[in-house]
Amino acid sequence: MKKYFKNIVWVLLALLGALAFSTIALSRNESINAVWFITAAVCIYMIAYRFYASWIAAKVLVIDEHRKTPALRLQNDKDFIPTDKWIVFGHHFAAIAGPGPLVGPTLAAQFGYLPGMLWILIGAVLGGAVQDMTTLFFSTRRNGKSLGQMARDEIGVIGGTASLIGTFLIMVILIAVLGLVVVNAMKHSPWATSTVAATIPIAIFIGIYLRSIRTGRVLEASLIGFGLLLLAVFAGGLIDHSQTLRTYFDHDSLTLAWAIIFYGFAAAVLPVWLLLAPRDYLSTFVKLGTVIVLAVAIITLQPEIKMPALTQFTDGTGPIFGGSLFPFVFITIACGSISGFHSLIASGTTPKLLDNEKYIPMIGYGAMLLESFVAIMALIAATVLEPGIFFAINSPVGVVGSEAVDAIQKINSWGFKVTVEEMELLAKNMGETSLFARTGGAPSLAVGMANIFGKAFGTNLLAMWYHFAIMFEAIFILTTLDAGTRVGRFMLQDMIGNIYPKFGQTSWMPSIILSSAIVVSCWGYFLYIGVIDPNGGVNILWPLFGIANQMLAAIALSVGTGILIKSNKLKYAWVTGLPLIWLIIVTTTAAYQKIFSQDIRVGFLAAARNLTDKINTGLIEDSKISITHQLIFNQKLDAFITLFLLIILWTVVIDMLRISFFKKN
Amino acid sequence: MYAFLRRLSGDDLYDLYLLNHKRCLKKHKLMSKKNFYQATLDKKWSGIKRCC
Repeated sequence: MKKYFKNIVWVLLALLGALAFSTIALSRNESINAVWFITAAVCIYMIAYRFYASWIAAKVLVIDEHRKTPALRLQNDKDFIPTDKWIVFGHHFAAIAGPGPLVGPTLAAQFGYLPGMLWILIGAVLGGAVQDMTTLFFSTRRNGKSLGQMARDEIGVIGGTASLIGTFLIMVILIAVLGLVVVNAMKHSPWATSTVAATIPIAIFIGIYLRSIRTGRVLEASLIGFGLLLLAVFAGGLIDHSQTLRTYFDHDSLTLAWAIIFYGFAAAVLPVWLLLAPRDYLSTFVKLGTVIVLAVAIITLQPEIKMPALTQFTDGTGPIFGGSLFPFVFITIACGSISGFHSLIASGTTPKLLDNEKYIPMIGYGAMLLESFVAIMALIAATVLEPGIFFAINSPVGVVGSEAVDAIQKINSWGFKVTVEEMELLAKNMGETSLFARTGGAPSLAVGMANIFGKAFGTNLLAMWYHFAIMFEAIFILTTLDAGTRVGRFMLQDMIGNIYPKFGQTSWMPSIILSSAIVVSCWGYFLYIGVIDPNGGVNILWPLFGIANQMLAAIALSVGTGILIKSNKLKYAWVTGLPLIWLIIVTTTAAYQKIFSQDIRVGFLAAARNLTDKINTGLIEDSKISITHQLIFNQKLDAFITLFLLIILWTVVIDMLRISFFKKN
Repeated sequence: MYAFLRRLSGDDLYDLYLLNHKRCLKKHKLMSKKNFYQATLDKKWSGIKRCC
C-alpha cells in the first residue's frame, strides 16, 4: 500500500512537471508566471535525482556502501579526512557555484527565456550532474586522484597534459572575464565602487579577527563581517550623495581594471589567512543568504516574465554577443548546466573527504542540481525586466551608440519599447547616473534582483537593494578572481619547478612574486582587451571561456566514457557518451564559427580583417590607430587560442577511443 | 540548529580535531588551536578550491 502511494506521488510529480514544462515551452506572445519555471525545475530535479541518479549509482557505477573510501583507508588528518556528508555537500557546492550560474543565464537571455531554460534543465540533468557524479565516483575509486592524473592514467600523457593546459587556460580567461564583469558594474558608479572596495578592508579585519583576536571562531566572525558588509552598502549611499567623497570612487573602466589587476596580485602574494580565507567565509554566508531570500521572494511574488520565449536574435545578430542560438546558447550557459571546472573539484578535495560511497549521488548529482536552480533564478531575475530595459543595460556602445537617444532608437527599432525617461528614472531609482551600456550581466541581474527584493520588502529601498546585489555579485566574483590567481600561481610554480626545483617551493618569495606576476599579467592582458573593446569585451571573452570550459567537461566525460568502456560496460557508455558527443558537436561548431565566420561580430579573423581594412582605407582616426593594431593582434590571438583548444579536444577524444577499443590491457 | 550551523561553517573544527586526536591520532603531537587553524587554512588553499 505504501509503495502504491509512493508511486502515485511520483506520477503526480511527473504530471505536474510536464504541465509546467509544456506551459513554458508552448507559451507564445502571452505573459507567463515565473512560478512555472520554479515548478518545472523542481519536478524535473526531483525525478532526475530519484530515478536517473539512482539508476546510474546502482547499475552503471555499482556504488558499494560497504567499500571503504580513501578518506577512511588513507586517513592522515591532512588531505584524507572522513567528514560528515552535509559538510562535504556544503564544501562541494560552495566550491562549484561561483558567479558563473549568475552571469551565463543573464547573458543568454538575449535569445529569450526558452533556450536558456531548456538548456539549464536538460543540460544539468543529463550532462552536468552526470559529469560531476561520475568523476567523483571514479576519483573516489582511485584514491582521490585528480582529473589530470586520471586522464594521464586512463588515456595517456596527451590526456593528462591537455587537461593541465586546459585548466590553466580556463583559469586565465575566466578570471579576465569575471574581472570585466566587476569593472563594468563599477564604472562611474561611486556607490558600487566604494561598496566593493570596502569588502577588502572588511575581509582583512575578519582575517585578523579570526587569527589573532578570536582564533577559529568562524561563525562569529562571519556574522560580524556580514553586518559590516551591510553597513558598507549603506555607507556607499552616503558617499554617493557627498560631492567631495564621490569623486574618489568615480572611475572609468581602465582605472578600475588596473585596480582589479593590482588586487589579484596582492591576493596571490599575501598570506591566505589575511584576505582569501575570510573573504571565502563571508562570501559563503552572503551567497547562501541571498540565494535563499531570492528564492523565497520569487515564490511569494510570482513575478511575470516579460522577455519573449524567443527573440529575433536567435539568428546571431544579438547585441550582447554575436552568434546564433546554436551553438552559442550552449557555451554561454556553462555553469548551471554543465561545467568542466566542476570535475576538478569532484576529483580534488571532495573524494578525499567522503566517508561512504552511498553519498556520491547526493553530493555529485545533488549539488549540481542546486547550482542549476541558482541559474534558473538568475534567468528569472533577468527576464522579469522589461526587454527594452534589459537590452539598454546590456548592449555595448559599439552596437547601440554612446548617446542615450541613439541607443533608445536602436533598441526601439528591434521592437522593444523603452524611453530615455524610463531609463533615467530607473537609473535614479537605483542610485546611479546612467544604466546604459553596463555590459557583463551583473548590473542587469542586480536591477532584476532589486526589483524582486523591492516588491517583496519595499520599493523605497531600491537603490540599497541594487547596490546590495552588486556587492553580492562582486563578492562572488572577487572570491573566484583571487583564489583563481593563487591557484594559477601554484600551477605555474609546479610546472616551472619541474625544470628549476627551487622555483617549485611554494613559500620561496622570489618564486611567489614572479609566478603571481606572470599569472596576473596573463589574465590582466585579456581584461585589458575586454576593457578597450568597443563591443563590450563580453562578446570576445565569454565565448572563449565557454569553449574552454566545455572542452574541459568533454575531457572529463572522455575519461569517464573510457573507463566505462574499459570496464566492460559498453552498454552503459552512453550515459557519459551522449553528453560528450553533444559537447564535441557544440564546442567544435562554436570554435569553427569563432575562427572562420565571415560575420565580424562572430569570427575573430573576420573582425581582424575588418579592422585592417578600416585602417587601410583611412576610416580610423590617427589617435586610435595604435589601439586598433592592438585589437587586431588580440583577435588573431583569440583565434589561435580557440584553434589550440579545438586540437587538444579532438586529440583527447580520438586517443580515448583508440585506447578504449583498440588497446586491450 | 546552533551545532549544525557551527558544523556547517567550520566553527567546531578544532573541537572535532581534539576528539579525533584523543581517539586515533595520539602518536601525533597535539597542535595548539592557533597552529591547527593556520594548518587547516594552508591546506584548504593549496589546490583548486573554486570554480565558475
